[in-house]
Amino acid sequence: MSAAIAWDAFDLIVFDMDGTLYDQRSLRWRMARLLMGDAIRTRSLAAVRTLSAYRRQRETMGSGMTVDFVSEQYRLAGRCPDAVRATVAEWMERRPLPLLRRHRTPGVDGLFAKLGRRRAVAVFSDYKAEDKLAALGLSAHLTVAAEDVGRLKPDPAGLLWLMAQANTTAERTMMIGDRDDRDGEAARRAGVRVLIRGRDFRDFNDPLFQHAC
Amino acid sequence: MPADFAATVRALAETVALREQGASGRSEAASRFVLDSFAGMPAYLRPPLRAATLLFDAWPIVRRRRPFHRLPPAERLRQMESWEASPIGAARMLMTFYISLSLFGLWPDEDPHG
Ligand SMILES: [Mg+2]
Repeated sequence: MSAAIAWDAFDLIVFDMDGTLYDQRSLRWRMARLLMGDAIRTRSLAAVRTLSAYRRQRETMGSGMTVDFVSEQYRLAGRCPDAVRATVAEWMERRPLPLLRRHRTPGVDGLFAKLGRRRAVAVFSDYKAEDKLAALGLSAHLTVAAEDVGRLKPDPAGLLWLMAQANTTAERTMMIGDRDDRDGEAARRAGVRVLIRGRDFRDFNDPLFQHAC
Repeated sequence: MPADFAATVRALAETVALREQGASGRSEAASRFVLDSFAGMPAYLRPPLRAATLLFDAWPIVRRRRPFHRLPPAERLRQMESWEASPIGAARMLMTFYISLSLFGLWPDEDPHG
């Protein structure tokens, strides 16, 4: 995307978290090594199996409409929901935190600071974002997770909620994500302009963001 | 029919996908993830791991006259599970290495997720 963006036309900039504010691919490999070490130490594949099934479940839920995904996401065949929740909390929420900072997307801290001076900066993620934001050394005016609105992307419920909180319109909102089928689709359903990392820009040092202030 | 490292990794990923996810398992992403992981490992770990993998592949040649990666799915599964339950720690560890990485590679977020 080469056309310059008139950043003044936006009141609210909404970022996706995973894969957008940090590089998910390199973190994934680090987590795989940790899980493999755990499997060898405990002589059990239970954690990696549970996480694998959980991720598949969430992906399926994101592709269709699931009523009450908040509790349904932990209901996996042959597993106790509380144990699934505990494994997910440990491996998908707690353990990645100390690793996040070194995988932060280049330029994101400067961009957050610049944008945040004159407009609302928000995070719209399928997972809770506050702890990850803090681990990344970033802060946003608003955050919303799928659990807060009971809907996974590409449902735009979170995006609409953010717009209401920021008291602005779809025309004055920009979504920045890494998946067109989730972030892009949510933005289109809400009538919001979208930029996709990997397609429209590589990182936040891209000339696209040069005049954001 | 010599042992073949990459073909063994692919065959293991297929076996894990079949066991864990049935016919719907997408093993290509898993074998790519395992091969990438191997390439990213410290240099000193790669030769022993490659040697152990080739030994695993060559294991059935004497009795079945073909390496692991040329066995039909049910026999691959039998060999993988017998090494998983082996009294030899190194054999178990080799299987844990491949099965956990393959499982991780089977996560649907090979593409970045939302
Ligand atoms: Mg994402």
